[in-house]
Amino acid sequence: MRHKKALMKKVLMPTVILVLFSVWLPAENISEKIRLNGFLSQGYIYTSDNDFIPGTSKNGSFEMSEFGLTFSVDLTDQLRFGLQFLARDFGPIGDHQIELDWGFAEYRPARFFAIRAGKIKTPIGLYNEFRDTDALHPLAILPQSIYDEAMRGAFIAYNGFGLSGDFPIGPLGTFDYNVFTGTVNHPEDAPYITQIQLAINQGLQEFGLGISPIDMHTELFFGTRFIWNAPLAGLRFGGTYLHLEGKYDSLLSDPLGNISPISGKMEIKNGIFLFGELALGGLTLASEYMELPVDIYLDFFGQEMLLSDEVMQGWYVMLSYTFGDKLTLSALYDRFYADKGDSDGQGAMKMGYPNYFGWQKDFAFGIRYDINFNWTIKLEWHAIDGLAKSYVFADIYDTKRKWNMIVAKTSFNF
Amino acid sequence: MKGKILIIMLIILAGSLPALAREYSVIVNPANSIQKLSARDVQDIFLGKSTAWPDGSKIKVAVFKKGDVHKTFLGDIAQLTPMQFSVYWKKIIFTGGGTPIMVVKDEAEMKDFIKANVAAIGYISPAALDTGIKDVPLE
Repeated sequence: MRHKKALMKKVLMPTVILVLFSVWLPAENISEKIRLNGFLSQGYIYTSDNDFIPGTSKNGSFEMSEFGLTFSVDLTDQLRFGLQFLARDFGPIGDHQIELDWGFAEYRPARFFAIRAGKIKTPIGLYNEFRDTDALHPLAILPQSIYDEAMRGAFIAYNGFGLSGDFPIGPLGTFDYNVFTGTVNHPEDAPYITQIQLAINQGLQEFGLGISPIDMHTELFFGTRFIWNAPLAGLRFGGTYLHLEGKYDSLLSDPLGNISPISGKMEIKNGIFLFGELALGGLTLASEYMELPVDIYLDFFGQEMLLSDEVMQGWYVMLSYTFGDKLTLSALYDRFYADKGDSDGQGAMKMGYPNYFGWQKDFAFGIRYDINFNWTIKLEWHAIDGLAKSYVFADIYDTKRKWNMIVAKTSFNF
Repeated sequence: MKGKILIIMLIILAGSLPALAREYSVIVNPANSIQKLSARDVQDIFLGKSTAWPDGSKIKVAVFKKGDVHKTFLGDIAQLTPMQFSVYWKKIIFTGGGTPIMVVKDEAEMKDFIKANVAAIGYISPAALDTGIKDVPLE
């Protein structure tokens, strides 16, 4: 009975809403002044040996959906306001809780200069800002080397200010830029928060110590993204630079049962994302490269201990071809290392994991069919080697190095 | 004699080429002071990169959702198919990159929108041009 109710909540409700939207809201124009748009998607995921969605996908799971509503209004010729509510379900994460995905005011006095204030999507790479809108990318599962589900909470949006604009550079095309700063909300249930807690506990294990779940808050966050749009239509190159410093608080327990407050910090300094894309007719060729140095410190009775200093490294190449506006075939090769240069997983083994927790390589093939402008269906298969992206969810004694993932997803937007 | 006939035919053909190529007209409100636009200007406006007229007023863009004029226009000015154009704008909308453009269902609605908004811009087939809207030459 309880299972049936859960299934109803997870699957049937989104499906009913999706059908209702498709019947009643086929047009984008709700009003000339206030504009309403939205999207809804429902997926099914099955993995052969390891979980991709925490605790569920190995048995097949419908716990993969998103629902967004977007409002936009022009307040004056230069000032506009918009916000988007998002509810998502990703196994135990999200659980259809409605949250403000982004919401900000933008003043744009000139093409080359706009200033935003509020909660703003973080401009990382090619897909980060619309990673939750399934219809806007070719594969349902984005390349995990760059768009890691575990790190989503840290990079999806920030609260603060952003400058942006674009300007022509003569025969060389145009140049787009973003500069941003603010704070990041670190969700308590975010997988990377659990990963940090695990890493700290690994470091403290030899002393018989352990810490409780951590409470992370941002100390410093800033970054920039630039894009060069080449004179050849559809060709662009760019990069994102990120700096994120966070401080955490927790409780330390010793073998005698004593509990005392403890703190530390996480630093991502000189995070780099580089990308290029060629969209020519029905062909899209996209590639990205990332290096993300993550240092984790613990303030251990007045002494700063460096517990982890890994440089995450990832890259992918994705090729898509659209036949006649409806059918798109995509192929992806995606590669990630938990620590740059450690291609045989020595770091993972030192922490007691199998060596294949040190990398993740994904070869994927996907079919996308656009029934019309508003309705999309996708089917894809991933052949994966390694488990570097999922270890926080995994029972290490019940994992395999090589595994497969099949995803079916449909989405509606208006 | 044959050579002269050939030359005359080529001249006639050349004269008719612009008319043949003109499968759409870019239109604005008659009160808009703009006299001509470059193809690049039109591309920037319909892709949401240029958002203001020279007098500072916000450009109000209207497009069709489908149709031959829509397909030809997008192919010419942005090298995009209607589906690619739709996805392009949804990326802007769902990330807060701009206010959605107006989507009209037919040429009558397009003309009504242009007539009602001084800052509006759109496109229609040349045959649908009438006195209440201004045809803007493309350079």
